Parts: sequence; C-alpha cells; structure tokens
Amino acid sequence: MPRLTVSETFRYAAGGAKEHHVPGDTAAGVLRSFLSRYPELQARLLLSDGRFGAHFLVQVNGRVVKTDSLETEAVSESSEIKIYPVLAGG
Amino acid sequence: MQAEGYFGKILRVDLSKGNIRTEALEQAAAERFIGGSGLGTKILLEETTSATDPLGPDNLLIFATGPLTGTSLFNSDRFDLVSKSPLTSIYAESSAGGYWGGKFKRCGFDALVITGRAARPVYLYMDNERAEVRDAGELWGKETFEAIDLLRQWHGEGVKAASIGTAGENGVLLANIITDGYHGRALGRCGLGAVMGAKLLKAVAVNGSREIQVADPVRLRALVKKLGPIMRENPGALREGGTSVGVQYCDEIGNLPVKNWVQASFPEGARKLTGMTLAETLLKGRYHCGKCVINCGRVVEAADGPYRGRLTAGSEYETVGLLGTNLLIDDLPTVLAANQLCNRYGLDSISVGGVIGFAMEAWEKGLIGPKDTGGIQLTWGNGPAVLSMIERIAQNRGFGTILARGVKRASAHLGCGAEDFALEVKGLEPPAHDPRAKMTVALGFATSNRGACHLAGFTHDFEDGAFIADLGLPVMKDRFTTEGKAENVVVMQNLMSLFDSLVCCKFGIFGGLTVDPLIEGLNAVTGWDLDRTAFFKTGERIFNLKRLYNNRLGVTAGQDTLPKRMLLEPRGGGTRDHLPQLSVMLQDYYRLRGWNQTTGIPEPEKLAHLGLQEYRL
Repeated sequence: MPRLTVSETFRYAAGGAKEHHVPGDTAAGVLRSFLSRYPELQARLLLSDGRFGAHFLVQVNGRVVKTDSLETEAVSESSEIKIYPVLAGG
Repeated sequence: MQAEGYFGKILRVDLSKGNIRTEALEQAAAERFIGGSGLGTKILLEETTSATDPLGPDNLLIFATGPLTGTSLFNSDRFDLVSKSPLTSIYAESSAGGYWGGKFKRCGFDALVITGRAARPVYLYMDNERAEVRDAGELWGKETFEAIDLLRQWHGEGVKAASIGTAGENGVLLANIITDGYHGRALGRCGLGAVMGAKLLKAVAVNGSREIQVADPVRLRALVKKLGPIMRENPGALREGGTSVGVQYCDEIGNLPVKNWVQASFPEGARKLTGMTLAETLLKGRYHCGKCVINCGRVVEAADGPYRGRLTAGSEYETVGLLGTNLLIDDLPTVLAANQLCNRYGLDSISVGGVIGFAMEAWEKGLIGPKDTGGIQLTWGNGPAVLSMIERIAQNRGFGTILARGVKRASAHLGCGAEDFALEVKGLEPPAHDPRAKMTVALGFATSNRGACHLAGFTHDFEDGAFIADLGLPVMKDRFTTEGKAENVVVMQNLMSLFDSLVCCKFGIFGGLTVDPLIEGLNAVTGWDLDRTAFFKTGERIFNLKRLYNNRLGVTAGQDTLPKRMLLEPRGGGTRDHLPQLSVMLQDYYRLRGWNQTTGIPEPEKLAHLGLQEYRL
C-alpha cells in the first residue's frame, strides 16, 4: 500500500500519527481514502464541492504534484506521498 | 555574572559627536527583556521622549541580537532593529534574517545603538571589536546592491552589510534597509531606511569572528540533533514554493488582497503568481538565511536595469499580494521586476503596493488624473505604470512625493473622502492578510504595536489548519468565530515577542522550533532554568513594554481598530461576507491583557505583576 506522511502541523487532525498506509491507484484516490478516516482534516483540505483546495501541497516520491493533477497521478504499492500545509507570510 | 550566549556589551555610536564607546549590558536587562526587540524597546523607552523627532538626531537606531543569535540552533542568525517610526510616529521594529545578525554579534557585541546625525554621509565599519565611522561619499547615491557590493570590495567577501538605497537618502517614509545584497533580506517595515538616511548613515558593515560561548554545548547539540530531521522535512511547502506557495489558498479563503482589498477574489491571477508557478517557470535556485535548512528564499534573474540577467531575490508572499493581486497585476515577471526595484531603491514592497493600490482607486474614482501623476496612467493592472510610480516614490519626485509619505498622509492630502479607501492601522499599510477572512488577524492587526502587522501575532497560519502542539491552547477550528480568539492572540503575541527577542525566525515553528524546544535552547545557551511560566511571562513583559512606549505617545484604545473597509465592507468570496466583530474581541483581549477597558493602558496591577512599575505613565 502507498505510504502517506503527514506534516507535523497537520498531525493533530490525523490521529497524531506521522505515517499511514492507505490504498489507492492515484494520488487523489489515496488522499480521499485517507481523509475519509479523518473528517476534521477532510473539512480543511477539501472544498465544499469535494474538490481538493489549495490549502496543502502534495509530493509523490519527492516530486511536487499540483492539485489539479492529483486525479491522474498514478501511484504504486511502494509510492511515498507527503502532504504539507501551505503557508503564507514573509 | 553575565549569562553565556551574550557578550555583555553594547556598542554606542554618536554620529553628531563622532563618539564610539562600549558599555556593559546589564544582566538584569538581559533576564527581563532577553535581547532583540525586547532589549531595543527598553533602550528606546528609557532614552527617548514623546517629543523625539523620528527623523531628528535624537532618535535612536537600535540593532539588537539575542542570546540565540549566531548559535548552532536552527533559524537563529537574526536580529531586530528598533526605533521610532517616521511613517507612523509610534513604535517601530523590523526583523531580518540573512547573515548580518550573526556577523554583527561575533564582533563581540549584543547590540548597537546609533544616535545623532553625521555632518556628511558616513558608514559604520566593524571588524570584531574595532568600529570606525568612515566616509560614505562614494556610497551615497548608490542603490542598495551596488553599495553592498562596494563594501565587500573594500573590506572583503566575508563582510556583511545592511544598507539603505536612494529611497532612504531621499527621505521616503516607506524606505527600508537591505542586508547582504542580491540574495538578501530586508528590514522592511515602518520606514526605518528614512531614519538611517536622516542620520546620513548609508550602511553598517560588519565582520565579526568571535566565538559565541554556550553554557551547555552538549545539551544544545542534542536539541539540534533532535530537531534536524523535523526541520529538514516538515517545512516542505516553504522549500518547494517559497513564502508565496500559499497564494492560491489565500485567494480561496479571501485572505489575499485584490484591487485595494475590494474584489472578492482573483483566481486566475493567483494561479499565475503562486510560488509553484514561479518554481515551474522562472526560478533559478533557492537560498537560505544563516543556520536555516528551509531554503524559502527564491533566486530569479533580474529583469531590467543595470543588473539585468544577474541572479537576485524573488518575491515573497507579501510582495506578490501587494504588488500583484492588490493592483490586479497577474504577470509574474512584472511582479518580480517591481520587487527588484523596491529592493534596489530600498523600499518596503508591502507599503509601496498598498499606497499604489490606494492611488489606483483614487484614479478610478476620478480624484486624481494624468495631470497629477505626470502622465502615468494609474489604471488597474497597468504594470509599466506601477514600475514608473515606484521610481517616482524612490526619487521622492512628482506624484511620488505624495505616495512616499504613506497612505495615511496621501489620503489626507487628497481629501474628498479618500480616507475611506486608505487602508492603514496606526499609519502602517497592512500586509497581505485580510482581517475579514480570519478573526485573529483582525485582532492582531488592531493591537500590534507597530500598526497593521501579521508577524506580531503570527496567528494567520494557525487559524485554519496548522497547529502548535505545545502552545497549550486548543486547535482553532473556525476562522470566523470570535470565541477563544483573544486568548490565542494574546498567547501568540507573547510568544512572538520572544521570537523577536531571542532572535529566531518564526518559520522555524513549522520545523519543530516551538515552545518547548525554544525554552530548551534558551536554557542550554544561557545556563538559565526558565520554565514555561517564566518564559511566557517574559514575552508578556516585552509586549507590554512596547505598548507602554506607544501609550506614552498617546496611543490608547481608540487607535486599536481597523480600516473602515476591513471593518464594515463585506467582501464576499472566501470571506463569505464575514466582518470582524472587533469590539467583542477587544473586550476579551483587554481583560486577558489586564489593560483598562476604556483606555487600553496596562493597569497598575499588571505592571506590578510584570515588574514594569518603573515605566508606569
């Protein structure tokens, strides 16, 4: 199963765990499956129409995948997916 | 006995008399106010009066490091500059990363206090403990990059300089100070470049190599080792997309300024300007400040002018918001060019974007026209006009003389109701965070000691997703409710006062540099034994000291407010037409602060609790 790593500042809403093994064939599939387990995080990362918002950044195997490409980004059993909150400041 | 982490010395430079002397840093002052902005505020409060002219010789420029500056702890090569602002006429502080802070401290000093006014342009050069005021005739008139380059040529590559550009020389109240050069950082806010310019001080160049003593190196090393993996991994979004990685997200939730804070959103513009678009198109590399592994700095090619093709700093989130979407500009190269102009001339890109947005609305409303602007068409989205107006502001020329004084004075000059769309708090133009989108931002802007500021409370990233586990407060689950927001703002302002005094980068929070590691680091460096209570009490003391400085200048509850547009005009979009219930939150806030509900001045009991009775008004 693909391995999903949650950034520390999101972890409070994901049961406190850093790593999760989640089924799915695409990055979007893995994320939806994962978020369905954690409604609080789901409410923050999905828009009201169910699309992924711009609130977080996704890396698959170390490469950034844009939100609008998540549905077509294929993943395998050995894939590593990481999600980070996006920040604003400077 | 002086705690480790400090050199125990302050360098005093009087430019009027040409005096340079060293004085001891009192240990009691270090324990009560730590360093950085805390120590700077103590000196400013004690050594200036309410009559001090911000641009006069009596105003002070206090460059202050903290006990963590220059140590091996992550994100710690920072310093703060404290003074009285010529833009707002109240308390001013600005913090910068880069490498200047560590290099200065290693000269053997904790702080540098500059007063007076030189008879001719000068710069201060420090080679460890040796400090000299030198002639800056050749530097005067130069842009920041050029001046810093020359100082490197004269004094060696290891020298780090903080320099004003021509905007500071020309008395522009939006002038900033640039450190380190092309890949530098800025002391951006409050117009402190104009204070340097008024003192005829072009730059401070430092080259320190002294060892910083740490009380318990083993304990500090263990902390750094523990934080390392978190610091390298967690701030991944900042590394990938820089500080502008969240532009689209901010547009979605109504946080991003669009069309002088009127338009609900600008999705196509946000998509074109976001940090990920920059990463995929014009990005040439990344850079970082001293002791940092995040690498949020962006490297791009200079677009125009004498540095065309040269690699330089890319735009930050605030710059994208104010010089991009706020002006309805969706062209990334134009925003980068505007940012580069600001950096070259030494201008605060936040205030410049704010004041040009104001001018564009004045143009749209017919309050100004081409006769006023010298033919520059200040229409929304007009990139070339923005670049031309930045030049005029830096040169303090033509219509630029009106805008160079900031949005508050510019609106008073125009009259005819222009105050209604002049966005400022206590005279400072807001950064790119809309108080209608997040209630802690509303309260934070209203109560920040330097005016509209997102960094004094740094709550904006924690009201809608991220969470600091060891802060001791529950997760903020609803960005529109007022419940619990005052407590969050109070605690975060106290914590941020500590960040600005230690001095550390607030982005370190995303890499695990949160409350407990900060206390651990401070105790390891100094040998102190602070617990959470004492730590937060120190932060509260520092925040209250800044408030007392402003109270002395006449700031009371009446100034703790927001611009009319942000308080009363629904914006739609991601704000969902929400308006801040500021008065409700302020009541809670004053109660929690121990400030008088009517005046907003700290009550005597609070001052006694914090040991600040000597500063009672």
